[in-house]
Amino acid sequence: MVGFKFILGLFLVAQISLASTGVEEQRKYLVDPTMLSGAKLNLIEPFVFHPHSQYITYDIYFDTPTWQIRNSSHSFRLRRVEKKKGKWDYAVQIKSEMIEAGQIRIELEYKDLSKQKIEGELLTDLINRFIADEAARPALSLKFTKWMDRKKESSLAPFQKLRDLDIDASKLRSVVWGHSVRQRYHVYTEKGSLLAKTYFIKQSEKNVFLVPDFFKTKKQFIWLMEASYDRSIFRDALNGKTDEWVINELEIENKYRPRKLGTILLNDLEKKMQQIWQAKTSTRSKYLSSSAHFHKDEKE
Amino acid sequence: MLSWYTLALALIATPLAFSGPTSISEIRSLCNELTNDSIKELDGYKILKRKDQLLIHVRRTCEDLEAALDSGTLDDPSSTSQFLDLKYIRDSWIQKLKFDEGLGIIDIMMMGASHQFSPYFLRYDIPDNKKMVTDIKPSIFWKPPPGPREKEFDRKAQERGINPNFKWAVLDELEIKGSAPKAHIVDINSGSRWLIKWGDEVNTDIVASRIFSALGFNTDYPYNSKSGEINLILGKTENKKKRSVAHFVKFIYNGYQINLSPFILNAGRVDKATVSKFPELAPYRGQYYVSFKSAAIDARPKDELRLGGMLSGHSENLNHRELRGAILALAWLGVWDIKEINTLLSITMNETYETQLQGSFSDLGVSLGVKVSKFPRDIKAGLINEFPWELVSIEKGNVKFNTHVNAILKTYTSASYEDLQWMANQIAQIDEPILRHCLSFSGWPNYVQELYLYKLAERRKQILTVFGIEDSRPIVINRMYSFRDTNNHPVKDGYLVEEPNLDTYPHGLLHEKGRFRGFGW
Repeated sequence: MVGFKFILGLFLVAQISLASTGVEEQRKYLVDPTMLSGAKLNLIEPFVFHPHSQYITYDIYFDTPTWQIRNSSHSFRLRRVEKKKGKWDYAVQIKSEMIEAGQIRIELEYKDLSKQKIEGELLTDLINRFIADEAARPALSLKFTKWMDRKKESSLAPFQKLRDLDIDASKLRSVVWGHSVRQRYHVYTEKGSLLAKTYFIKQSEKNVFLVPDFFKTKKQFIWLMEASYDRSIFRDALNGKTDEWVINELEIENKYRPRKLGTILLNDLEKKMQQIWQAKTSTRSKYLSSSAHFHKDEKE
Repeated sequence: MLSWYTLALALIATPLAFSGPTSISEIRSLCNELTNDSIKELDGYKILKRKDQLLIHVRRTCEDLEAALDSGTLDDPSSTSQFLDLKYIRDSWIQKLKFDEGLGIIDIMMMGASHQFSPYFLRYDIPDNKKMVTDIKPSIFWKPPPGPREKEFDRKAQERGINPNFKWAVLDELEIKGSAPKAHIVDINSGSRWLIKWGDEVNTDIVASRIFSALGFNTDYPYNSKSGEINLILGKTENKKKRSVAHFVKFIYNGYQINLSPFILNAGRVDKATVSKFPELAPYRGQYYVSFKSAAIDARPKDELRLGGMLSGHSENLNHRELRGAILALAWLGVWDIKEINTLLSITMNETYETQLQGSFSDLGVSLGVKVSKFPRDIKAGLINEFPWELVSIEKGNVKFNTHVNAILKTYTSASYEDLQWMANQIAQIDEPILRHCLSFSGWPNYVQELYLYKLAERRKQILTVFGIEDSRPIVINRMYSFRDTNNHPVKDGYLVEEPNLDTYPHGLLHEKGRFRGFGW
């Protein structure tokens, strides 16, 4: 019986570790864009940043007049993303804030917005017009509010979350909006590097089916993290303020297994980035940062 | 005594009543139950995770109903149908949650009672005025095969991207449900997921599923895996703690009381030499692997969410001729385990996130000659000598089946003569080449396949005779079939008399010790 329990335990541990792969440890840093260009990218060795894809996102953030979303440490947005030239995807999303560095953020979204309409007009068309037409923005904001009101009792995940948070979706109005150019990187180290020797880093125990193809063909590289560098410009959507708020942030996600060693490596990289890139640790989301900039006198 | 059983069986066979939506709040409440992750319990069953297929399909349907509310068409038949689909999904999901908790003593007793009394329930009036049987519309359960019937199973499998030809797989998760030993595995090259099974269903499930597919029904995708065809790596990565073959065998024994050792052909370790021969094994260096004398693999496509049964959760289902008539096809193949949970409602999703509901006849393996033993408790399938030549007869104006099943389901007891006649017409399309083709995937020795061919053909002939269908493709039947080679005489006068090689068929094709007696090991 003891033997059975032992074996069962072994398999349960294996299953739990597999089940938890959807949860990632993330950290945010404010970094000057010049640090991630050209040769400076190599100064962070033996960590290697390998750029692999780029895309552009447009976000319109919403909150209630009493800033309930900001105050509940969440952000709520309509997003348009361009991953392939000329092909746009849309989503409505709610995301929790990172209260402490490294804390897990939860994101809920609904992507199938192609049939959603407001007074006969497609929501996706209205998002496009909002991005392109400055003069139309106040009127479009009102239409978005109507859509939120219509969806407040729906089964769309972000609205379910609002109900859980006791926030009335019909009170939402657009407060800030902006766009981000996102550069994505694989972060790795080579087998035999000083880092690999120092920490006795073997190949990651990450589920092989979740490893990017890049690492399947280049066995000498050990996948450690995934990084995204966002260069973002935000604007006010509430009072017509015309200045712009620039955010340059680097987000790094631990991909190494065992996770504990990945966290140690993340600490190591953090120190290096602080020394070489003058990176500053941040917990503020783009929404928190930009809404606080444009509406700082309003209670956070 | 009989009346007690009759009452109990009638009670379990009664489906839930359904009605259309009464208000948008009822729709929203159902949508919320099915999709809101903060709801962790449904009818007292714990919900760990809602999968993407469910969330996408249900939310899309709910949004269609919200749009119908805006356009004033919520009472239209199409909206009512969508609402009933949502209730159908909920009902089937609850069935699965219930099944995952395991069978209780009452369930086991009811199976025994059903087995005992099923011939009493499986009799159907022959009407005085027989109606003309008309064609039926394709449904989520059945479609007339668009091409050659024998290729229907492979056509559908190809459409779903299912490829059973792989040499190396890795153990993903051990299963402890059901009575037949099984485990979840992953093809290391494609990442496709499979369930590997051992025991008496490794031949029968393959044949029964292919014949059901040829009849136009949706099925699972099981394949017989020949000796040494698949090497199963027992641990996931190079660094992971090594699982030995002994651990693996012990786990299966503790879960199912079945010794897997006689099913093992070979065991080894992924070493340098193995990696140089198969470079794709590099991530598994140091892990143990094992291959089997006999097994079956059953596809578990990533794009599919398997809910529970498909029969009783929708009021419209009792109007589906193909579902009511399916009892004749089940009886033809001698499928014993017809519990509703052995049918499957699933949600499939393609690359562009389009979803659809699909109903399948799943897990048809306990068939083609089933021996049920009460003392000692045991069951074994695929015993050709237990698969009778006689299936159907007419007695006192009733069509009567000579078969036993483990559940009495309203869908099947409500079948009419016309439903069965429609099914008999489908069975008439299954001719000798189709049967031979389906049997050729079984993994049985040729002489066993031949004997099964004659028995299936004889049972088919009786069906067509009873339902007055002219056989345009008659099959020559040899009820006294015998087979002899230089040393052996395994089939004599229509009976299997010698056990085929236990190295190839470790579960045994002749001896009657089944899953509850460790297949005699």
